[in-house]
Amino acid sequence: MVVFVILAVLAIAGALGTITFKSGIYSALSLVGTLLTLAMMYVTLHAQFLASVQVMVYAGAIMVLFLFVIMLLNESQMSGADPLPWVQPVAIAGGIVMAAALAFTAFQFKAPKNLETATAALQGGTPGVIGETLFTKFLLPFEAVSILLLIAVVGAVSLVHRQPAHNEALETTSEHATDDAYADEVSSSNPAKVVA
Amino acid sequence: MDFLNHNLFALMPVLPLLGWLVLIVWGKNMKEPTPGIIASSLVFLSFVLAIVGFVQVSPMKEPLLNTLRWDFLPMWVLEKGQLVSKPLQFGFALDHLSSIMTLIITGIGFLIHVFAIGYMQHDKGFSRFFAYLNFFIGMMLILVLADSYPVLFIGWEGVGVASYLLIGFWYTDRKNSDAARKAFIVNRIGDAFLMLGMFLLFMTFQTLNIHEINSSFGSVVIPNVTTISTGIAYGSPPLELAALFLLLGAAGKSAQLPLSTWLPDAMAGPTPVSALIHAATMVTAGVYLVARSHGIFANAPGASSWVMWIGALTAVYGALSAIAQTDIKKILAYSTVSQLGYMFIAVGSGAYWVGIFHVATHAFFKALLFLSSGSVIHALDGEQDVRQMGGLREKLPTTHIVSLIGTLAIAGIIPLAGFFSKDAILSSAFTSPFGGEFSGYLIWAIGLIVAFLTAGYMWRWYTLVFLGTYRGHAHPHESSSVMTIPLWILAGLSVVGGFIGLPHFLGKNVNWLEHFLEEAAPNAIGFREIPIWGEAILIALALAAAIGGILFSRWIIARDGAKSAGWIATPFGNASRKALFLDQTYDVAVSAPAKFVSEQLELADTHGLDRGIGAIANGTVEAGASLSVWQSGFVRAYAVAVLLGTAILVGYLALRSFA
Amino acid sequence: MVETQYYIALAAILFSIGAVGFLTRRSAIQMFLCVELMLNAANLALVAFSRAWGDLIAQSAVFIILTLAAAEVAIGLGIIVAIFKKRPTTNVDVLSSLKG
Repeated sequence: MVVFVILAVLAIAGALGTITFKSGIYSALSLVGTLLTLAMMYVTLHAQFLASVQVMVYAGAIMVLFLFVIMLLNESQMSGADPLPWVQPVAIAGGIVMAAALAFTAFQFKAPKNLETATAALQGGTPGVIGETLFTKFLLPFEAVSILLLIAVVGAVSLVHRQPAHNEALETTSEHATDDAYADEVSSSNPAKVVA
Repeated sequence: MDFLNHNLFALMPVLPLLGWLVLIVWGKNMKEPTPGIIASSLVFLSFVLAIVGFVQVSPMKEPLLNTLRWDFLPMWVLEKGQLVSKPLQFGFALDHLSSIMTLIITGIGFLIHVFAIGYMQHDKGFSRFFAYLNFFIGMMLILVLADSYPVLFIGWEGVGVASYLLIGFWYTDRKNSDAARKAFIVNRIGDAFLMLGMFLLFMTFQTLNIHEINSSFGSVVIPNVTTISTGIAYGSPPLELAALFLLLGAAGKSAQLPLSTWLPDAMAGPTPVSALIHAATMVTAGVYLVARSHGIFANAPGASSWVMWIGALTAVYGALSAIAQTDIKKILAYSTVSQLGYMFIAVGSGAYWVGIFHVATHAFFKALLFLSSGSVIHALDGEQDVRQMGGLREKLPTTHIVSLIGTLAIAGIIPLAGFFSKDAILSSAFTSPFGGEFSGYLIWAIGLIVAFLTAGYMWRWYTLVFLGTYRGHAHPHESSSVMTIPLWILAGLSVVGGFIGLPHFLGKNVNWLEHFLEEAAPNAIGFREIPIWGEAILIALALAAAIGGILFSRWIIARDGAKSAGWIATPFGNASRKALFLDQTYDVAVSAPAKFVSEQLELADTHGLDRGIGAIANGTVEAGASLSVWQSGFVRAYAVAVLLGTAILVGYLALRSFA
Repeated sequence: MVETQYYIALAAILFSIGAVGFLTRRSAIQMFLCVELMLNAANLALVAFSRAWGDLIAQSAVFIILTLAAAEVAIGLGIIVAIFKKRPTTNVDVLSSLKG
């Protein structure tokens, strides 16, 4: 219980930091803190595989991507007046109501089984048992998700790709390809020419 | 003569319709005489086919049939308490009656096409004009060749459309398009009744095939005895009613009272149109319809006497209206109304061949007169007022001679065409089996008066146009040969056309037309016999009336002068010039109330309906606008709505678990 | 052993914090971070229920959600970068041309 309280306080603190820091980098680092706390909490919940995945994928890969984009865009803080000033109090009030209602509902939960026996059935949530579930009951979602990841990669590339400028460059080079003297002259300044 | 074994007659309407299609699509790209030549030659081909059909059908008893295997009207009939599908096939039939009509339509039509090449030269709508003319000829042929009433109705409506298009041919003038609309609307009234008649016929006979209906009466009809095949009694109510509906339909197309007012206005169209459609062919469709439905009318004595009386009244009305007109074409138009009345007398009396006889002779001399007046108008650069004419005898010698022939023919001077057909009409009215003896004698007397008036106003027309001295300002010139040759041919036909229906007292078998039509349109049963000398007396009286009319007219004009100003100023002259106030009567009785109702409806529309609908529309727009405030474009505003909704739902669930 | 209810309540609190953050932050990237926080709250609840039932299905679902989150971040950040190239801002309030 002590461990839980410590972890919970850390997680909530991290979450509050995420939403209160003005700077995007501080915000992201706070979230990393929350994610790491949650990873530890997964260990207490006998989900060891998920805990490690949480650290590697979330706290590692995803958050690094976030930090990378934040630094790439390098945006200063939001300027100008908030056009929707009423949103903040309404959101906080709604959030408190929702949190209270959900927490209240959570305490209505009746454990369906004895907690000790249920925990034992998890076998610690090690990669072996998770993998067994994934490749039997969850085979179709698993494959679907792999295709989804592929689509996401292609989509992300095409979103930030500069198609027209690239084509233009290719055309200009092929146009001058017959003119040897000119081609020699531009080849040094145009790397695409070498490829062509 | 191998080709005589083929039923080529169904191609007759196809050829002009083909010409219509070609001219309406490519006509604009053609140089001036080309569309006219194409249209005329196609109508000439139809004329050749009509001759072939005539030769084929002459020795036959039954009509030639040419039916498409196309069920163009699905119909169900009640047989032994069960609905049986009996679709109507699209078909043409050529019998002696329709053969005569096709000869008139294609023959006169061809001549008028040729005339129009000259008359319409330098007109911007040259190719459009010939396209419409060809369309008309095609539709008219469909009308007369139809083997069933629905097919006839297609042609009936088609000629109505052609008439509308051609009356309003110079549509940029408001007056012309108004006249076209008037003709179209008045015709629709008649068409509605024709359709009612068809429905009733279908109910009664379980078929709409014309020949089946006609033959279902049997060849001999005995009054007051139920006919064998259908159980339809002579003079039974459904028969009489159907015949009356058909009569009203025919009255619309043939400009009979009370639907006669459109025809004089229809003269707004080019003169060849007036000659072809509004004198020679389309307006006789009503007469053809009655003759075509001879089985029904011969067994409907009440309706037949109505036909006679409507014809007689129209004849008087037209003749009285024609007396004081000042427009060269209006005189002829009212004359046409009057002559159509004559035809109705004939078909109403039960002598259907007489009606067709007068259709033919009238087509000859009235087409001739219209084309002559067209030639005059052409020569005077569009002048149509007879008071601005006169003395054209020297300037237009050809036109003068053919007009004189036409005038004498329509007046009924022996031995021109009008003489024979008019005598046949008068004697058939005198001896008609329908409506009783007294009614027959009365109609005969009316016909005699009309003959007198006809001779009178036609002589006035001739005198004002050709005799005396020229009163106008234009420089008349004789028309080109492309216009005069058709005039000569029509003049020749007006001279000899009457010999196809010689009166009985010249011998038993001299009447070729009656004999020719005795299968296709046999006379009704029960004509009163009159002695030979009685017939001769009737003819002498008719001739005397015609000559008297001419002499009276000469006397009046000699007394009042060419402009006949003093005469027109009298109340009678005024009434005649205003066509007996029929148009004004309609204005007061129909147009004014209709206008009042429409105005009230418009008020209700603008102030009631429009406002209500406008309020609904505005309300919707305002409601939408007030809702669109939510659509602020701010993502966070949408998201906060989602959050609030979720909070409320979850809060509700939590509270419910409390309870 | 800590009862499941506490984990669920913690998840509820984290989720609500994430939701409030999503609504109050104006930077697209920070809003995105809040979405990740909400996702993790849901994951925590799932893992807690997994233990309560003694069933690994929920843990497998969490694994799938993790993968989905990775894909979502890739696309989402791509969109943000693409928008940034057109308008040099990540302020979502500026991107309000789709209004009624």
